[in-house]
Amino acid sequence: MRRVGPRSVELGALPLSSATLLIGLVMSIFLLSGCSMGVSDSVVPPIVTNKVPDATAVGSETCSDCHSTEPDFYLAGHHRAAFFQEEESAGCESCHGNGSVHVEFFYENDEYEDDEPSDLIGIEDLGQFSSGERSALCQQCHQQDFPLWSLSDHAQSEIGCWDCHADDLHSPPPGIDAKPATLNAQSDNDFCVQCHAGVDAEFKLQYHHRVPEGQMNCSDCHSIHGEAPTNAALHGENARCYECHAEFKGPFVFEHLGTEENCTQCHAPHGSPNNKLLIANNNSLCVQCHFQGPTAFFGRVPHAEFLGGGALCYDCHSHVHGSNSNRNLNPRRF
Amino acid sequence: MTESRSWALIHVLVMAMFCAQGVKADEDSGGAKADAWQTPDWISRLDVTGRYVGTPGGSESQFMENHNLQSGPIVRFEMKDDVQEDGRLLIEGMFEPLQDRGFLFVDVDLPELLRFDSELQAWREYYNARTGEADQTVNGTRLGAFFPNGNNSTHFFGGGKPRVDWLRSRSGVSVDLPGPFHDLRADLFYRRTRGEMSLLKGGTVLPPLSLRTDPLDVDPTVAGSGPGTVFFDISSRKKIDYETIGGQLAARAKLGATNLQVDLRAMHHDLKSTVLEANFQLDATSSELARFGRDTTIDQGSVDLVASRNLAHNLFVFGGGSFSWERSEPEPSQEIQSGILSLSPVRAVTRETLNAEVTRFTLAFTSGTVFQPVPSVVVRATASARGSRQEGDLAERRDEISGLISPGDFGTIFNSSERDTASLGARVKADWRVASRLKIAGFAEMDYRYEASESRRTLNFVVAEAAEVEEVENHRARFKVGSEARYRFRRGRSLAAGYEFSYVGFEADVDLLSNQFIVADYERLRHRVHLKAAGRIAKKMHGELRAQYVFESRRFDAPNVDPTDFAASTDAEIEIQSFVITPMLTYQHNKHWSGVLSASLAREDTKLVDDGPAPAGFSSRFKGFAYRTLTGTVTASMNWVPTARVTNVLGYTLYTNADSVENVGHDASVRTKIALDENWAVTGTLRYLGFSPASEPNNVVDDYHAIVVSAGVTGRF
Repeated sequence: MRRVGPRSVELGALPLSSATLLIGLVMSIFLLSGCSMGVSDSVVPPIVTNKVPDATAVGSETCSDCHSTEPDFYLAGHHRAAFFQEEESAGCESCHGNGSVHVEFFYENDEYEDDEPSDLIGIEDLGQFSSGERSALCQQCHQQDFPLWSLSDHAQSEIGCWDCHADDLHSPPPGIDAKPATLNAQSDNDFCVQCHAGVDAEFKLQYHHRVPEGQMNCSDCHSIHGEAPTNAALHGENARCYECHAEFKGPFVFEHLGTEENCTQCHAPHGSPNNKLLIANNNSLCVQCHFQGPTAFFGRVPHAEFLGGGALCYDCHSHVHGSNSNRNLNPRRF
Repeated sequence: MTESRSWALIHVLVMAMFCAQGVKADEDSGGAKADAWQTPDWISRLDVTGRYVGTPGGSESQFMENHNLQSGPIVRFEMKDDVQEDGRLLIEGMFEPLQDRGFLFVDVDLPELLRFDSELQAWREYYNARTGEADQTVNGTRLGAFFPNGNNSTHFFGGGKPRVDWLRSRSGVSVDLPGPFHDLRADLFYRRTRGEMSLLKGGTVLPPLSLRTDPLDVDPTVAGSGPGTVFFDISSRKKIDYETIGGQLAARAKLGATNLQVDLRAMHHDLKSTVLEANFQLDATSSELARFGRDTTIDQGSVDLVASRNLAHNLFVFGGGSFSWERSEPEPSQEIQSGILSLSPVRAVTRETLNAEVTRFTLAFTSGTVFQPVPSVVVRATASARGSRQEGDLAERRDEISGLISPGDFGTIFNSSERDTASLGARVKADWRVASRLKIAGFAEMDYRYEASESRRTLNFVVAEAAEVEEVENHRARFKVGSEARYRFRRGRSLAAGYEFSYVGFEADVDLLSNQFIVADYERLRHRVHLKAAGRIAKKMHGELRAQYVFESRRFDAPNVDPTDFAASTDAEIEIQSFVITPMLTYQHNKHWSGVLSASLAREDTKLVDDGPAPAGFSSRFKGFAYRTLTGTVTASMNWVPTARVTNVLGYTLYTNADSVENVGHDASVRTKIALDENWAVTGTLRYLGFSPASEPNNVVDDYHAIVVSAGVTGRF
């Protein structure tokens, strides 16, 4: 566990010209540079996790001698490992700062007065931190779990880890599962729509993915912690969709160019008034890309008889995601 | 659902008795936990609920499609226990046996050693075969009573209750290691999707082109009232059976200050799909029995490497690469028998795959940085490159027995295709905090994709047919810029507004074409304006308003259909306008009363601005190709907590769609939770769900009015 103390390096110390050079060469040097580079934190404002610089860590078990209920939080969930970690700074002191001065004060005075200034970083202090600073606190341990957090839409919108995870870390209210790694709502989805009200409205439409019914979570499709840029770049924008809808992934002998763009070219994933979550109904969807020539035909086939009366493109070209037997995606046609 | 109703009633009664007995036992014991409720220490949660769902006089299939709710008991539990010295075992599960739904989650956590977690989820979903769209033709003509549940101009669907069973499971082991590779994790996936969809499908065949004055402006013939015919696809039956098994090995390492992620992934998909169709036409011209098979196996493998590190306190960089391989062995098949009504087949066609293989290799790279040159500026930049090569071959044999309808023919078909793609993309975004309350952000992104494809289709029949050859190069470029300003007022109020512009250009360079080509070159221009305002409105009221307006224009260069002349011959233009307004209000009167009101009003209008000159003999080429929807959603909920033991939640949602899609839905509910003691509580829910697909009087088949009643006990220990 790396300890974050007061920093001596000021922000902005890196000259812009040097930075430009670094950006240009970064991919070739950053692996080679390895251990010679100094230890640092993510690109966020500096934080101080020790209120008293001279304080040393005492370990979570020492904290639990007096704070008997709070360790339940650790023992109930994923922070359990941190609680038992051999490094003493893991656990409570990761966020609240080293506790030796606090403990010594208690032993000398038996108890704290309410108005006594604390030697630790309490909830009031944490409340003064910006979302980025609070996220940096979490990143001390979790940067290797979410290394691309600073690229996430949430980070860019100044939404921090605590905005979703930490309100009730130590004492979950009645009705909330006591899982520190889960969100502070009846379900993950209920929590997300508190901010994403427009998405919630889309899920209310007649056709929707089974998120309100609890069969899916928002996180099944969305990379909340910043993994999305690499996932999309390395595996394509439709990779998430193909996790469940593998039958549309191909490869096909004859691909449909539209599916290479993005599934959202035709489908509204959260909800739609149209069957199959289509963004438009009937042929209105297809003619957004496929346009008719100067005669009443698409290609050589006289389509007027069908299209004029309202037949659907899909009636014949039913293999819209790709076909192995017909270039026109029409399984009936040889 | 019908057959389960009687069981559901019994379950609800049992649940009610269970609750009543629990309360009585609690009272008898003077408020202390009765012996009957003593639960083992390792049980941390136990919920038992009975749910009754009724759709009096409505469409069960439409209700199931929309909400997937069914009567029956719901049991949920959670068990925790210590294992070894510091370890923990967690088992969590939920079962709805009459709805064939449930999940089971097992987690064994041994700190500093390993962690095993496994989850299994299964559920059954019902689908309604109807499309739920407006009961009118594309020309605006209402369909007659003969097709009361017709969903588009010429088709109707009915009967059957399509359903699909989903099974998803994942098991993984992660091991903590002392070395640089501190975290190793192995996951195993298994998924299965099985479905059976039987439905009655019907529609009309239009009169011949020669009988119309304007072939594109003819109302569909309905119920044989015109010269056209009516056909039925009786008991069209589709069966799917998709099976996926795969694994992933992931390693996380910390080499110095560099985070390394290595992922190896392999998947195997076995996809089976069969459609059976039996068709006949009322005018006795023909009948047909057809089976379409679409079986495929797909194997995939990929390896990813992503590395990231902070080069300085204000500079973060990452880079990654991926190589993936995909191989498909499709096996499409077909059998068609045609005849005159019930007479013996006069034409039989079979089509079987002889050999097939499609492979695709993809290599992708990405890199990026987050740089903070000065405290008030953060720059994020990413770049990516991606290339793939795909080769596909499929040979099939087609046999057609000669008959009255067709002279018959047989032979082989060889399909082959090659496709190379390359794409490049980059994005830069800068956030500048101009002042403590003002922040300005701007971004620019572009990507370009090149695709070269060749395909050849050779038909070796007795009666010779020409080969189809296509060689096309596609170029697609996208460019997008935007900016946003955000200002924070005092007392937590904020205002943000932004503008985005994007351009998409697509151009097909046709080198060789021996058949039809239907993709036009096009340019897309898109403007988006968005606004967000949030903050305290009154002492106890907080509000938020989001709005966006999008204007999009697409211009087409439609290619000439003459295969020897690919010059663009005419232009056309489509306009798409849309806006969405989403206001939200929260009100906290006191600790007993609070409420939330949110709404969403959306409008989308797609219309043809310029369809070019009409072909000779046609009044218009695109009449009826407009799409327009107005979607409104209002959600209101109120929490009433009269005492610390009682919580009541009232909720109501209204959603409605108008124009191209017409429907109205209601969802109203009352939920109550009463705590009996510190561990046990009783819960109850009364919910009404209503839906009406359109204002057409005859179109009532998809209406439903559903009542959902549930009651249960919940315990947390």
